[in-house]
Amino acid sequence: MARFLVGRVLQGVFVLWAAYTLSFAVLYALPSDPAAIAAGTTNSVTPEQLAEVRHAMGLDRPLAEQYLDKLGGALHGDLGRSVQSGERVTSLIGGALPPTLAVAGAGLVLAVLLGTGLAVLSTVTGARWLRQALLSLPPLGVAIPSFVVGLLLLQWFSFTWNLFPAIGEGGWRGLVLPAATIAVQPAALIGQVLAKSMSDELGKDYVDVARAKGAGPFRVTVRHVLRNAALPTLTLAGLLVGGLLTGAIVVEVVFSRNGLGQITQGAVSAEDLPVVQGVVLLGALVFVTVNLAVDLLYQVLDPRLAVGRRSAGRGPAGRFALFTFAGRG
Amino acid sequence: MTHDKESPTVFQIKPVGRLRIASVAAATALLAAACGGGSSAGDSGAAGPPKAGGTLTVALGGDPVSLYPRAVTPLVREVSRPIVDSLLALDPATRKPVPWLAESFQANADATEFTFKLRSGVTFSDGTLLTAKVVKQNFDDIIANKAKSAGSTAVSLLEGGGYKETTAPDDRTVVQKFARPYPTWPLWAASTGFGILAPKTLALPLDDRFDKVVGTGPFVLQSYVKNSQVVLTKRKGYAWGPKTAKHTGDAYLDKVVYKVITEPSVRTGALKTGQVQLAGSLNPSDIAPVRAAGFSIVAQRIPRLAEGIVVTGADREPLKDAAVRQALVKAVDAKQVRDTLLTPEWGVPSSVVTGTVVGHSDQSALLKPDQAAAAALLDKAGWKPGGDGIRTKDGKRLTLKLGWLERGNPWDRPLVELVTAQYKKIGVELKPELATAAQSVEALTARNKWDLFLSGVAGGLDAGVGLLGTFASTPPNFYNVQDAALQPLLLKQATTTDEAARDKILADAQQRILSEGLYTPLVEDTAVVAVGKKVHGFALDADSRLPTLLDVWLS
Repeated sequence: MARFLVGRVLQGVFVLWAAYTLSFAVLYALPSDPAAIAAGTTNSVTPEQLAEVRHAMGLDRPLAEQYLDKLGGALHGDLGRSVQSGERVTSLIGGALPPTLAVAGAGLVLAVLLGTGLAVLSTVTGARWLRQALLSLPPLGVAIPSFVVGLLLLQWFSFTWNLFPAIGEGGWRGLVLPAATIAVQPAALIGQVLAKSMSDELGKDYVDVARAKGAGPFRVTVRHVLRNAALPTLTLAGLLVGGLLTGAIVVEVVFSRNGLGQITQGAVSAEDLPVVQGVVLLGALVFVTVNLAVDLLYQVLDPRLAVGRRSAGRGPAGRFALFTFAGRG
Repeated sequence: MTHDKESPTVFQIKPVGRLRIASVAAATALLAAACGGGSSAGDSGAAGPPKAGGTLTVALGGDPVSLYPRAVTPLVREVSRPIVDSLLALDPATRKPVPWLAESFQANADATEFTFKLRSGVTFSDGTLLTAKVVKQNFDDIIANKAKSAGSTAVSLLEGGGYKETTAPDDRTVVQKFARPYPTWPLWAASTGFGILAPKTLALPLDDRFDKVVGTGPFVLQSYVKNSQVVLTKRKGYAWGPKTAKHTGDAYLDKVVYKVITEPSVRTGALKTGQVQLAGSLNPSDIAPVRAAGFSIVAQRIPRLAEGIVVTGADREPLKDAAVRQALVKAVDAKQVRDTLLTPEWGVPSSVVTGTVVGHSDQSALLKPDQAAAAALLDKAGWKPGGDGIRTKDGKRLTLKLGWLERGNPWDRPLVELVTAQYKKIGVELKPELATAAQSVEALTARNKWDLFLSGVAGGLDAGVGLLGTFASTPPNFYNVQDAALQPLLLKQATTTDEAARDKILADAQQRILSEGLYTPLVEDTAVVAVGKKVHGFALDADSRLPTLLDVWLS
């Protein structure tokens, strides 16, 4: 177990270093000049002034030196400062984490409840039309952009009925609409996968045994089938976290909340490189952690995946999620 | 309405040399403004006398990022103006400098030395007294941090003006020296970027100042939550409002809350449901519904370069030929742009700079759309109509590349499409290329990638700075300006102290730019603010930004 853990942690550290190095290469080594971008396209900034700025930003030093210097800082927990405001990147991200975690957490709970509810209901129900109707919901949920969902919810629940505030953090009431918005796509994903694997499980022998013992459809579904069907859904965890984080960008902009999404969006559009790099690093950290947690959870849930063996199913989901996060963020 | 302005410290009108800093005209206009002129809104007499108290909620279109008044962010100006006072203020009606922290000022004969006499008894919100030494510290600090302030207007205004030093001969006298005549300095000294900060803020490293700003203003910074809100509270014992203020003493409002709302439709919805009472940068399409919901609309043209197309390929074919450039100016119908993409709140541009710029000169005659004349110019230049409607010369098509940036204006994309269509009517093919800020720096530096560039937010209150910033042919010469006759005009206006003579040079420069076809103004950018029914005493500042809010009150 210890060897397994150490191996996985080392792997995680490598991923972090690679993410840092890659983002440095992309952001600093490419032939764009952060100082010139900051100065803008006006003749009021003379080449001499620009040279001074470049020097103050440390951009006139050799690339390798800049890289080692920044990497050294990062190892000591110093990710530099925002070019725009001067605030420390770590405190900027630290301040944005709690509101994002609140929305993403509430959204995740809601998504699991909705998705599981949908899958169970569609499995238990005898009515064919209801089952068809329920199963057509997930594709719809995935298809509607969360931007649209958010604006529609705002239009009804805030601007028309004035039930919830449209802007800002504002306690639990301010959390309802953003969490509902962010939950739609993950709920659809969970509902889809869970319903499919539940219908697969229903054909298995142990279900017949349970039925023979006199268990009703509800008991069979919830006590027996749901448990076994949950494992493939867990594989989605990495994907879901990725979805929640990208969802946060949209939700935070629509609902005017502070958070990682806003920080990312603002930093990218202002080309605030240290902040962008900090966000990339945080993204990598989240996925390394989630993957590790999923691996460990597998060991608990499925004794067949004994410690020390390489499980075939663990990596791709997480890696795919990292890819979607990087691609969309 | 009470106009209980304290017995005014007489603003010393000293025509020193040929430089007239404050004129009688300014003083009378000031009086007119105080009696309800200008573009104030929601200020109906029916509301009764101003009432103290209440919280004003203002929607901000984005995160201010920093509250440090000299930070380089688009919205810092809006949130820091109520916190910091400047030496002078600008009268929105006349755009002349009037006293604020300085009760008087004078310039020497050639406008290289300015003496400010500070008001007595002014304190920062932490209790420190405002002295000439503190003012000196502020300017020393700007210079000391200049390398860390990329793109800072404060730095470029000082350096561009040949700033030498600030001295403090006694507690209430500040003297500033420049290497060259700087007749527009009092205008700039009134800007928020030169707001006077407490020694406590200056003692912090530059990077730590973004949320720790202590000033002498009518409001005090209470809290800033990034991407969410800024809260200001009333400064008790404030008695040094600018000369343009309508009352003396504390601000009426107890509290100002700025809510960051980036999504325009949410901003409008929040206005209508009363979640915010004031919102700026409205989209053209939102104006009618917001007005129908009972809000008054305050619109004021923003003093800067008109948004337009600047020629960046004047050193090569086909734009080397002045006739082709002139044809492009004549091909564009800016009134059609306004009528189709904007609302009547926007003006139709009448020069290179907008109408609220000091030194603006009306050149509408040069800007009359005339397709027939444009076609004739192209014919004469040898560009003959080709088979598909695009003109050709020696087998080459008249194709021009236009670089443009997404600046957040909802009309920019349709604007580019409309101009493309207008050019096509005279047989010119426009190929727009959307670029990021980084790409445009690169493309403009390379010189040969774009023939034209959609220029956005350059310039400021005075025409000279905007024109120099865009049309100077000295390095870095971003827009590849080749006109040798223009440069002397641009340099001469900057140091001409006689106001009328300077206006004449500026007018000549604007005429030169337009008649040479170097710039085609398209949109006269305008600040549009929705003001709630219960908000009174609101008017935009001279730079068309949010005011100190000193006179704003709620009924």
